[in-house]
Amino acid sequence: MSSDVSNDYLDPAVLDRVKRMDIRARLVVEGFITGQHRSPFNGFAVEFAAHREYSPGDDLRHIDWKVWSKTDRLYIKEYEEETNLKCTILLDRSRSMKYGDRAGAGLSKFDYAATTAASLAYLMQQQQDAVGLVLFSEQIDLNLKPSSHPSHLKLMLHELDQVQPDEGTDVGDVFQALAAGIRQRGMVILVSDLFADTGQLARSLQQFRLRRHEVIVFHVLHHDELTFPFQENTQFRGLEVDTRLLAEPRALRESYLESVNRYLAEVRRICAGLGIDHVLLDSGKRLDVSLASYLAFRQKRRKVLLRR
Amino acid sequence: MSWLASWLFNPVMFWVGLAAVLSPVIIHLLNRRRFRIVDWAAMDFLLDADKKNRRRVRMENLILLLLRCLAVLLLGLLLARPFLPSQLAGLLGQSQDFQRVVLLDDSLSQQVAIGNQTAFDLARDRLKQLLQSLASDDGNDWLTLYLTSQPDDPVIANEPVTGDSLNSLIARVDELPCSQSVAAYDQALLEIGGFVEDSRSTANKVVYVFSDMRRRDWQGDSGEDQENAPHRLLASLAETTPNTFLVDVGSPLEENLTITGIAVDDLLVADTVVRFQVTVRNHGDTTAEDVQLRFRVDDGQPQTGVIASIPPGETGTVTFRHMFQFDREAFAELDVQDQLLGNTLNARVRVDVVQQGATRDFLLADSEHFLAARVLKGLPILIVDGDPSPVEERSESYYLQGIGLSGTGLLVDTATVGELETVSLGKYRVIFLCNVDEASSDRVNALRQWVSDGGGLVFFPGDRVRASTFNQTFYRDGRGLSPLRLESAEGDATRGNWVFMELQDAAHPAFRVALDEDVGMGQVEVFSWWRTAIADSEEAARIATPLRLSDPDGSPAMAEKTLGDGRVITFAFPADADWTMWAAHPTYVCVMWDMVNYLVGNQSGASRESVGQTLTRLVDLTLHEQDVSLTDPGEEKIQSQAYPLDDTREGAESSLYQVEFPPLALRGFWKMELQRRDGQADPVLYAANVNPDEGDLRRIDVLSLPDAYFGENTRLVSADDLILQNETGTSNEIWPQLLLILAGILCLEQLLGWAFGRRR
Repeated sequence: MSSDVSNDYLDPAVLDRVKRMDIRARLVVEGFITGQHRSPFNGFAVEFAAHREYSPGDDLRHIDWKVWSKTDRLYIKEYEEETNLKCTILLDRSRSMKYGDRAGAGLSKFDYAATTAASLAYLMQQQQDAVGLVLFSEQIDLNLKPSSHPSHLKLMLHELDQVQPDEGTDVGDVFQALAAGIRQRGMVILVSDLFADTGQLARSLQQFRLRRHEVIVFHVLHHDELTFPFQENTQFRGLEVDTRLLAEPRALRESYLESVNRYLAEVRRICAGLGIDHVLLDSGKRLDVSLASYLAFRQKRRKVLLRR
Repeated sequence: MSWLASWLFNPVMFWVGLAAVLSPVIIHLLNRRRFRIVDWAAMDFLLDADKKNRRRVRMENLILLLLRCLAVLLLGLLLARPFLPSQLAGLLGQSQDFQRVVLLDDSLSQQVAIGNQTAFDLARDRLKQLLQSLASDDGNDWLTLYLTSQPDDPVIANEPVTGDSLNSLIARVDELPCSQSVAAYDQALLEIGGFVEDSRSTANKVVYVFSDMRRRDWQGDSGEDQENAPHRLLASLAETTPNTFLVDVGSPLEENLTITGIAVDDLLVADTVVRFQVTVRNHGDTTAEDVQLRFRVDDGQPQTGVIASIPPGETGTVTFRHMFQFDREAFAELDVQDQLLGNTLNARVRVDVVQQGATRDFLLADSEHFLAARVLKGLPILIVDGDPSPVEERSESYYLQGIGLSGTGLLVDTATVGELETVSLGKYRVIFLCNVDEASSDRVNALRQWVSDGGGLVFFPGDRVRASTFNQTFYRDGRGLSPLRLESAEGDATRGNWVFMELQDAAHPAFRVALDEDVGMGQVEVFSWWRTAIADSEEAARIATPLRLSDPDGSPAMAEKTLGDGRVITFAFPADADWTMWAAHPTYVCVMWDMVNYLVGNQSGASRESVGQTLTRLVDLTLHEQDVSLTDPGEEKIQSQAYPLDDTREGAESSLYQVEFPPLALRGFWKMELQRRDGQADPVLYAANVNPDEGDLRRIDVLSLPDAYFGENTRLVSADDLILQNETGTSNEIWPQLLLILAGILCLEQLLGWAFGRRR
């Protein structure tokens, strides 16, 4: 291989993995598209216009003359800058997402989350919506502004492939900054395991809601974390906290599951209170099934809302 | 350790168990070290769960761990076989009294030398150690001591073992001699069984059998497993007396040479060469080379014989020759009565194995053998001549008298038919009736009695004999003395009609020389003979005809029958040369000698008693006093008195008494002295030998025995272990209870483990 040709963008191994990721996302998305007659996102991205009184300095091209002729008042007909929905996918790349990356253990939490993100991004791209990607841990590691350009998806997939989970997680600070960063109202999809203090989580999510973003939380948990299938003596090492615990898993399972369920209930309560969709993704289940069932649920709810 | 030994049979196992208690803990710790490592995200929940459960899980684990440790400890305890100590047992209502019965093997085989001591000395030491420890412990002990040599009579009977009596008991044990007899385990064990049965006190019974574990004592001679085999008796004793110890006090040495016997091949008659065949058995594992034997008669010069080699388990023999001599002239001058009484010469024949450097012989007592030879001072023979003649060579008995040569030991008397009526028959061993056909009825009866008592009678009927008279006197239709009935004289002087003798029974001891071809009896010509008949067939079965004639009928030339202890022989021709050429034939004298030996043969003149045997003898009060003395090998005198026989034998005088002495305790020569009425003493010599089987020192191989050979309860212990065990004495073993507890704990552990596991 000649050294001048080989560069970071054209690494064959990376390309191969991007391609694989692409297929993985496409498979999942096409998997549920073929099962649907209507696109699940159809309609909800439409932004309606508003009229406001003319003030000096406004562009005269935007005056709605029809209104003037009826009311004799100058109104500016306001259009959105872009008609498409802007969606930002927030992907948690904290250490806790690393769980399950052992060989033979199936997808790790991060892989699962990344696949979810890629799938959603692909889906958005397909309906010409703008998709942005934010990777965060303790700070924002990557911020790809939403764009509907087809190459943007490639870029996102590439970035997804590059990134590995790392560092700790502190939802609060990061969301504060993110909320400030995303000015336009749009959709915020948070893909995370939400292992943080629930109070802080509630405040962070509130930041988005206060900016009137629609928020969907894809709560990714590993199958092990939901079922705790361990039998033998196991030493658990904290991924985010430096704690070790040697325990007999069988003795703790009941109590642990109780604790997890309590936490999930709390998260659900917070999300419901803020009007946020909370989707629990179990890494042990097939992603297309989980996604499809959620999207079907959304469509059904929209119909109900429209019928009212 | 001692406090452990007071309630454990096997303290070592207890320590092992105690050490093994750590094993569940170690397993637990190892188990904790063996774990998977999982990098876990949802740590908070886990820590939360752990905080809530930690105490409960720890408690459960602790309970299981304790149960497991307890189970292991119990297992160790179980293997250590604990029992309630006697003090504790006493508190629980069990007796602290111990009746201890000891059976001590004092048989000959215990005389095996171990260094300067014998195995018996060591066994005695063990017994003393036992007594000392009994005296010093807390329980109350009573001792009963049996010896295998006198099983029916305990040496020490139920005497307390305390600090005060200890010294006297030990002194008595020290005085115990080792007997020379065979161990009578069966009798002794039966006796002890009876003793234990009889004393139905509350005392704990403890039986110790101090045995040298010889195979012949415990495993029987022929492998037969009889009801009363010692090991069976011991097993049944142990069933009723659980504290039965079989204590091994024997020596491991097995090499031994034993003189099993001295066979006398010839008649013990003075002036003849007598052959003594000595048999030696090698009981060891290695071949004995160059075994030297010393043969000695009285105080004479010893002869030495050598057996080149005796393979292990085999016997070897060596033959010694000896001629007993005495003053024949002086003897001949005695009158008949004195000759009769003083007819035997007591000779002490003694053979021993010369102990050389190379000989491995650990038991010396059986390497010496004694034989009391009652040597006849000649064999008195009476020849009754029915046709005497002043001319010596024309008398009927001329040829027959020729057998009384010096060196044959025969003392020949001749008598006429008239003298036959008066001679003392008892003096003679063999009587020849040559050409005699008459005797008084009393005499015939006396002859009959004499034959029944062991005499040998020979008829040589010749031409003076009238067939009818002979038959009436001596044949009596088959009930008489003669086996043959004479009918008529046969044969004529024509040489062509002469016949020959044909030997029918080649093995007959009287015709040993006749087998020689050159001088065979088949060449003896017979020109006249008595045609004879054997009346009824029933009688014929008891009559042998070892010699017949070659006439067409095959007439008997000689017939013999047994009568009581004696024999009667009838020839079909006279003893002289009138009817046959035999009297001049070289076989004649030899056959006669052999025939005399054959006729006397039943009366062996040697005493071979065994140690332990009782000695009895008939005493004729017409000759001897009632008091009889016996001198043992150690020159100690034992007196005894003859008493009348309960059932006197038919025809015997009521003056026949019997004297009996206690069992012969020592090996060697025993001299009985019968006091004559006239003040002189008639000595009778006996020899007592140890049982040659005792020389078999092979020990039982405990490993090769079937299980529970000595019964389930009998405990086999070495002498060293006994001292360790005897402090405990009794046992109230509690292992069955422990076993139940152990099973319970294991069940509980499983149950709890399951319950805890299910809840999780």
